[in-house]
Amino acid sequence: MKTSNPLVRTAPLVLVVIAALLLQGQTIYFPMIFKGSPAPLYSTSYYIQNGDPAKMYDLGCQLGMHDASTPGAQDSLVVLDFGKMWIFNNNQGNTTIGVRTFGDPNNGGARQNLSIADLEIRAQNFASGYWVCSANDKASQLTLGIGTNTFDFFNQENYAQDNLRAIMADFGRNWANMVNRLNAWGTTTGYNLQILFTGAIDIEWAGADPTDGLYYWQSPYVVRGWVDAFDGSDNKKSIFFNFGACVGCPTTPSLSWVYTSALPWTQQDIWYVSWGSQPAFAVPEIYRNDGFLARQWAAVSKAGSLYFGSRIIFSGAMTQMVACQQRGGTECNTLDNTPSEGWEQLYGAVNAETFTAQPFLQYSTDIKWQFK
Amino acid sequence: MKNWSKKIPGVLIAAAALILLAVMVKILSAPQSSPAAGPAWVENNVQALQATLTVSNNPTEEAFIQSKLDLLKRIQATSAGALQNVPEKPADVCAFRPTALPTPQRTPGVEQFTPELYEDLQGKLNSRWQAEVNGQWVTVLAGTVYTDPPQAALWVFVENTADGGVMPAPQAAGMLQITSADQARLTLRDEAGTIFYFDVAGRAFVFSPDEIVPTLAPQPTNTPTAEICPP
Repeated sequence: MKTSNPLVRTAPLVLVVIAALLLQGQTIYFPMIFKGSPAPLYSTSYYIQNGDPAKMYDLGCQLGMHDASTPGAQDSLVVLDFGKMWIFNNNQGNTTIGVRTFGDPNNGGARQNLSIADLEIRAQNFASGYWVCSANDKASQLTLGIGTNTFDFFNQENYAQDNLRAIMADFGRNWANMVNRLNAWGTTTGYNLQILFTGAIDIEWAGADPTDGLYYWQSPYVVRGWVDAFDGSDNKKSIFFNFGACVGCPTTPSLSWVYTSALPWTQQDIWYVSWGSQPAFAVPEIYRNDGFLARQWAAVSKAGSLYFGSRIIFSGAMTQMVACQQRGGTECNTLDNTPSEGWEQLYGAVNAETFTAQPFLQYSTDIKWQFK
Repeated sequence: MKNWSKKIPGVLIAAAALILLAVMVKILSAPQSSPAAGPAWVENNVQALQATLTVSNNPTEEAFIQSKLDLLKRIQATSAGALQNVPEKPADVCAFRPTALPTPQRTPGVEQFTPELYEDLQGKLNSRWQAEVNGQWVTVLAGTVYTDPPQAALWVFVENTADGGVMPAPQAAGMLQITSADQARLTLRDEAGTIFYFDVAGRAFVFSPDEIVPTLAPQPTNTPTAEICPP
């Protein structure tokens, strides 16, 4: 009976495998498996109530220490929501643009006016704290969003849409320039090994103020002024996150849906300020326990896929679990998703169909009050 | 023939060993494959977009996502330049901490201000009172809370405790304003001109300036968090 040595039989195969290894490059791509990914560890974002530089440093330091003591390299998105955009006179009596922080409960509910230059320093303070306190952990990453919102009239009394849009555009330009300067600073200092600065904006809308009939959240025409000016001034080097809510949006794509005649937001507007504009990325508020908000955003993404050129690839989900624990209130009965619930709702909603599928949803961040 | 075939395994093993050796030498002598230029956050963003590109079958969408990818890669390239010269981190976590600003001086008493929307309190406010009550610093703000329908209301904050919250005054019309205070008894006026009183220590609206209400026990102060950089 003719037999052959097993080594003889397998030798050609071994040679083929070795030859194949030699012929191909050094990079071997394995398929990435995302299906059923667990929610990432969540980061904490803040409503800023006191922009003291030392307090900003401490917040960054806390996160740095946390990341350094957590096994593995962390990848966090933190939004510092500094409050509404505001025009005010500075200490020298000069008109200045900046923000008006949220009320500080430790100081009689007083709000601070911070100029753009002040914001830039506060962001550097937070980044320094993170960088120093993450110590030997040089692998963890922080994306730091310098945040504001689209609420109120900037301390101005001319409510004409063209005037408000021009003001918004001025803020958008300044915001992009600030983010560019911060990232240049990060390059100079070497902090950008771990830290990216971005813009962040809570874009929302609501009904008229019951006491004066005014609409304090801004229209798409006005908000697009901010977005377009950011895009026009970022030198194609910076991005911003929309961390707003899709107020009143339908859960299916609709070209006819309009929020109200006074604030005529459409799904196309929402898509544009969240993704359609080049520097726009989205980390929407997914607060509601029944997943409705996630379905609203998935519908905007689907409308983008069907009508506007692209689905939205969401960067993550924002929740307000800890803010609800801090202040409570009836709205928190239904709007206090945990970070993993919010993330899973958005991940599930967009991956429910191929039009909006995205295999990777990067961030989970939960917003809280700086104090209470 | 038989002898020759017996030698084949040895020859093949030797050849395989030589090839394996060559591969190892090549791998080890090659320059370290550098990680993607720039920080990893960009890489993760890029992965997210690329992962979606693999499931998209719409050329318009693919071009759109590609333009976003190009933006991220520009950021990546821009930030790659400084990575060679990263300074050592100081051992002292407080080394770079800026000096804290002076704590604002708090003046006890009533203060009126231009009515302003407080988006965080979901209302419009026009006045405040603050003072120490039973050893705790208390702030009361007045205005209208945007319930449906809106109601005159006060907001109470007790520093460094879980105490406080919004206190609607359904009996009042429009905005409530703090006009004066006698110790911790506030005098309030609504938009119809009606006068009300609020007892801060008892957290209660009262009908006359001398009505007596029980004082609430102070709530415990929050556990202080450890200071990262003690003063």
